[in-house]
This record gives sequence, C-alpha cells and structure tokens, in this order.
Amino acid sequence: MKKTYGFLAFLLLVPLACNRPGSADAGRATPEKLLVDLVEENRFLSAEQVADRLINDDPSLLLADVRSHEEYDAFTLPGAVNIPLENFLQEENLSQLDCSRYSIVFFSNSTVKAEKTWLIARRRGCKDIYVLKGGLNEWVARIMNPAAPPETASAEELERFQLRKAARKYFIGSSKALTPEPYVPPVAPQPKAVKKEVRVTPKPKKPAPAEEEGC
Amino acid sequence: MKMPASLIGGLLFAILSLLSCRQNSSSFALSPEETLRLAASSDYKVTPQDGRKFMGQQGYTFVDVRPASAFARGHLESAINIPLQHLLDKESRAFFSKNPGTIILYGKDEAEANGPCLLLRQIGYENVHLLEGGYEYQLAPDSVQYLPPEQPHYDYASVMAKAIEEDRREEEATRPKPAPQPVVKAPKEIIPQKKTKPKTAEEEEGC
Repeated sequence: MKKTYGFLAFLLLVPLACNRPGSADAGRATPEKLLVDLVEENRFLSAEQVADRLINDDPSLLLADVRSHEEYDAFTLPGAVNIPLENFLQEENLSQLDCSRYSIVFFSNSTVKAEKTWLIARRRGCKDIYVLKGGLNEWVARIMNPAAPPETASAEELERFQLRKAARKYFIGSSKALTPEPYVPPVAPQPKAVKKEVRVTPKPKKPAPAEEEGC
Repeated sequence: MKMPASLIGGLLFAILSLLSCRQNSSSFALSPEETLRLAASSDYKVTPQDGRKFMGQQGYTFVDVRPASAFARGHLESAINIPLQHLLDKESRAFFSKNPGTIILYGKDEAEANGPCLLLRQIGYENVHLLEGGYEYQLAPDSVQYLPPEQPHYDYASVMAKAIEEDRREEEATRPKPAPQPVVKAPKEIIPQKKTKPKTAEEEEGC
C-alpha cells in the first residue's frame, strides 16, 4: 500500500518537474518572447542614435565592441570596452557588462556578430541591450563620411546631415585628444571615459595618470 | 482491483502531462553556453555555393523568412514562405520537427535570417541551417564574390586619421584669416609639439 502511494506521489511530481523551468525562469526570455524581439527590431540603434547618446555623455551608456582584440586595438568607438563574442560568457566579462546598471550597445563590423551577442545576453535575462545597426561599416559611411544631401532634400534630411557633421566633429575631437596633438580641449571626453569605468586603449590612460601623479 | 486502476490513471496523467510539456516547449534545448559556441562557429551555416547546389535537390527545403509581400515579388526556387512573425506558429513548429531533411533558412541578407535560425536551433531544431549571403547574394551574378557580412568595408584607423588630417587642414585654412602672415604656418607645426611637453611639465610643477 505504502509503496503504491509513494509511486502515485512520484507520478504527481512528474508534471511539476516539467513545469518548473517555465515558472522559475519567468523573468528570462522564452522562445516566444525572443521571436517578438526579433520581429519588433527595437534592439537596433542607428549610428546617429548612438552618436547622440555619446555626445550627450549619457552616463548609463556602455559600448561593447564584440570583435577580436586585434580589431579593437586598431580602431574602436570612444570609451568602448572589448568583449569578443567567444569570451562573452566568461565570468569577468559578465560582471563588467552589468546590464542592470548599464544600457549596453553591442557593435561589430556589421550587424550579425553584435546581434549574436545580443541574443545570448537576452537569453540571460538582460533587457536594456541594443545592437548598433549596420555596425562600424555603417558608422563610417554615415558619421565619418556623410554624403551631402541633394539640393532637393527635406528639412529633416538636412537636419540629419547637420547632426552627422556635428557628430563627425565630435569624434575627430575625441580621437585627437587621444593623440599628442596641438588641439587641447580634452576636458569633455576624458573624464567621460573614467566615469563609465571603461577600459580604454592605453593611449587615453596616459594623460590621466600623469595628472593624478602630479597631485 | 482498485489499486491498478488508480495506477493506470496516474500513469496516463503523467504521460499526458509530459507530452503536453514537450508540445508547449516554451523552453530552450540549448543553454546560453551551447548557443554561444554554436553562434561563434559556422556549423549552422550553408555557404552560398552549397546553397545553389542544394536548390531543388531532394532532402533540402528552403524557407524564406521575409514578409509575404517580398516573397511574392520573388524567391528562391521551390522555397516556402514562413514570415518571421509566424516562425513559432503551431504549423511552423510541426513543419520544423517533422521534416526529416535539411531546412535552409534565408532572408534578404544574412543578418535577417541569422537571429531566427539561431532561435530555432536554441529550441532544438537541429536540422535548420542558415544560408550565408541571403537572397540578395543568390540574385547576384556569379562574378560577384561573396563577402562575409563582418568583413570591414574600410580601414577604420586610416579613415579616422584622414578625417583628423582633413579637420586640421580646415582649421588651418580658417585660422590665418585674422593673422594674415603666411609665415605663421611653419612655426605653427612646431609649436604644437612643444606645447604638449611644457603642458605636462606645467601640470606636474603646479601640483
């Protein structure tokens, strides 16, 4: 008798065990939620949107370059940290990319690699995460080499072009500040890099320690 | 007699709930770690050349995830259309799980079908693959070489250096206007370099 009741109790547990992952992971992504995200495309930020947040010194913004170390060393966006896709789930990288504190924008040369990282971050329950649409290729095409709008362009288009030109000026300024150049208004970009607790390439760090040592 | 009946009932209940558990499948078969390993590899991809080869062959089904309107305008030979928002519909799931052959997903470009393909893989449909280059590349003439999407289109560092140089020239062009002497140009190039050195020295002395 006891045995059969025990067996029945076990049978009742089977469906419970089956339901458990669903309820425990309530905050985490389900395939259906992930599909909605993929359809809605809210994950994409345009080059202009990211430039705007950078220029306005958005303190919650964290740029994550998911390309290789070599590519990162050659060029990256101001203040970006380097977390290659393959290393994304390593403990130290996950603690650095704290999506409860930062609004994270993943970027690579194009959309695909950054979106893979986004997908996995989404699986881990991150919400405030984005992908730079078109990646650095679009970034260069739209911000660094903006094509002048035609004479027939609408006011909106002209405005966007002005924004691109302003962004270009800003990024030239901030990268100038990283090299020993005569241009010396680095007050704005430098503390920003420190504020975000961002690992910057060795270049920008040099001026900062020098100042600290002095005091 | 009573016991076996309840036992059978219990067993039936357990089996049914397990079945419904599998069907509802609002969970993932791959862990984030496994997904990352797959995403970083090219194991789930089919090259554009292989895609061309497999087209129309038995055992290969091409699935177009673009909107129905785009599909109507043109699509790969013998492809079927499952617009992205219907990817996890009951019929679609049945199609993915019952298909014994290879399913090749494609979108406008590689980026459009990459997420959907990895989503299906995470759910556990191991027969689903991604067509590299997407529909656009299949339309391109044979002479056009396939470029992986993550290929940089520029040498970013030199684009930046060029922009800085252009900017400096612009500044130099605007500056001499108030100071008309062209002679200033030569020392200007030297002064800056000196400027930086004294500056750091000043700062150190200051503190």
